[in-house]
Amino acid sequence: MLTFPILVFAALSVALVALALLHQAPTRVKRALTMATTFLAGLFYVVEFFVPPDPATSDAVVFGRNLTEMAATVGQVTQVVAGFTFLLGIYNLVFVHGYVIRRRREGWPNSVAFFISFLAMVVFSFWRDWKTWFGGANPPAWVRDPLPEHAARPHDVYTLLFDGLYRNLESTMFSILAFYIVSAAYRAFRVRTGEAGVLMVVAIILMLGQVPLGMALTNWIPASGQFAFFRVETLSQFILTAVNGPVQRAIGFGIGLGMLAMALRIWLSLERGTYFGQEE
Amino acid sequence: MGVVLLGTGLLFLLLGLGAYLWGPHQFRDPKYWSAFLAGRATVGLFSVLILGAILHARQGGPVYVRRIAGLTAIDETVGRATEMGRPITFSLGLSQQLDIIALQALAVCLHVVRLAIRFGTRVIVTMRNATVYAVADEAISEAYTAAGRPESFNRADVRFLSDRQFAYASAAMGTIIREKAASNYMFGEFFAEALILAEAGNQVGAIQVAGTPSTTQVPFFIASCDYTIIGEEFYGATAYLTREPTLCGSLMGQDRCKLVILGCVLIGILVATAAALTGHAGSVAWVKGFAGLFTGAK
Repeated sequence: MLTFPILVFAALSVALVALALLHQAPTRVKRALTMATTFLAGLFYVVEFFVPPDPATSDAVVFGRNLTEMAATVGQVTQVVAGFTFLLGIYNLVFVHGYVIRRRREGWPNSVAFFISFLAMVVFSFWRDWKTWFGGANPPAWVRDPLPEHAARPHDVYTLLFDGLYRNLESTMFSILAFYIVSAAYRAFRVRTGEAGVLMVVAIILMLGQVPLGMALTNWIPASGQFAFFRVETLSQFILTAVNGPVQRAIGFGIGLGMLAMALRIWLSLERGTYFGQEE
Repeated sequence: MGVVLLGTGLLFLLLGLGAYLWGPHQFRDPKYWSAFLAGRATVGLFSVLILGAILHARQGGPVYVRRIAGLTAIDETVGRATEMGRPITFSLGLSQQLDIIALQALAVCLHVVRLAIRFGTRVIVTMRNATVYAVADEAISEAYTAAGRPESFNRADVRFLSDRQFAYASAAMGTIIREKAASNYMFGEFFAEALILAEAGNQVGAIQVAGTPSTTQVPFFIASCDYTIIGEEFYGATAYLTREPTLCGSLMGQDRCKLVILGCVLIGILVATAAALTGHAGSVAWVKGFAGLFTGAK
């Protein structure tokens, strides 16, 4: 019963001691440790990728160790780290908005609204699911609606805050895009050059090819035969698949190579100086 | 570089020979090897080309990087913000974790921050991911310290806004409009909120530079930003801005890989055309096998 808390306490203590020792270490030791850790962490995935797999399971096995299965576990380490850094993110939010309120900067009521909504969401989310995680009594009905007939839309505070407020605000922000697309297009799409003219014509064909009204314009062209290509939906598909598709793939080649190059530089610590310190 | 390539090739040849002679039975099956090499051969070859080019550049070999308007404009846009006395806003994108895209965006951000420190201009950096925030906060703080101005660093200017897409978008939009940014940078991975951020910048008259490998958002950035950096220009940004031999060599290596890809595409076109014209079954099978080296498709 006590083993788990003892283990957690021991792990935290070891981590704190290690951090303290690391903090005291000279810069070159820290740099060497960072490079070594980065290399070893990356080496695991390189070995897992390049080692010929077992034909029965398609898993990479080295000295009896199944690296492919271990990769899933190793990947969870990043999720644990992300969990800790989330606390840092919350600290930042509290720090920034607390600073605005303390100094009564312009817009400080918005920061008060942030704290109220943040605390409300935290309190009711934890209260709602406390029994599921930690046991104890059922929450009141106004915190977690237990009625089966309300399963589709529970009548509780959590649902009001999340589905009623947050989801609708999210949809509102998404819907702004429709207006912004129109304003951006109106501002940017000016036919001043030949290329812009080609872009405009192609865009019109593509848009017409997506809607029944556009397709109706070329319905009179036979669906089969040598002129079927000129039906607007056929032309639209041709532009998307034979013209736009290869271009997207070409951009994708460049992006993939860029990612590979950067991954290699980070793995082999060739990016030193970009983020911390200066390259020697 | 030739020695590196030759050495690496010999090493893999020896490993393959050893596996064939003394390894388990599957290593003597051609189908096993074709399935194994699919994808891995290209990654291995491209890695060797890139590392070889980095070595070449580090040894003083010449490297040329063409002009990219958006990256050249970064200095100009920082200067504009300084003249107008208004801050710069920098969005690190909506990466779900500290990945390659976020790191590259952070590298560009640090270049902007270092420039802004020299001019005494405020930079507000926003991000969606808390892990990115942890690294960005430390990196930006160190940039101020390295420039001799640790007292100028305001921790409140590095902001984790929210891990939710549109909550982040509305918060970033509010930041840009309230702070009346003179220059707005958007580097990293973006989704539907890209246009929301860009239009917010347009509302306050900010000059905007965007760079993203997200091809779906590139059209929106092109329509609403002054400069847009597309595709692999995003990954070449640090090489262009710093001109460091390692980074420029890496860029050269990527170009060599693209030449290899181009050669393979041309070979594939020629053989596929010949196969289609002659109807020769062997040619069609060869084309499929050749394509399978890259995709694993049969």
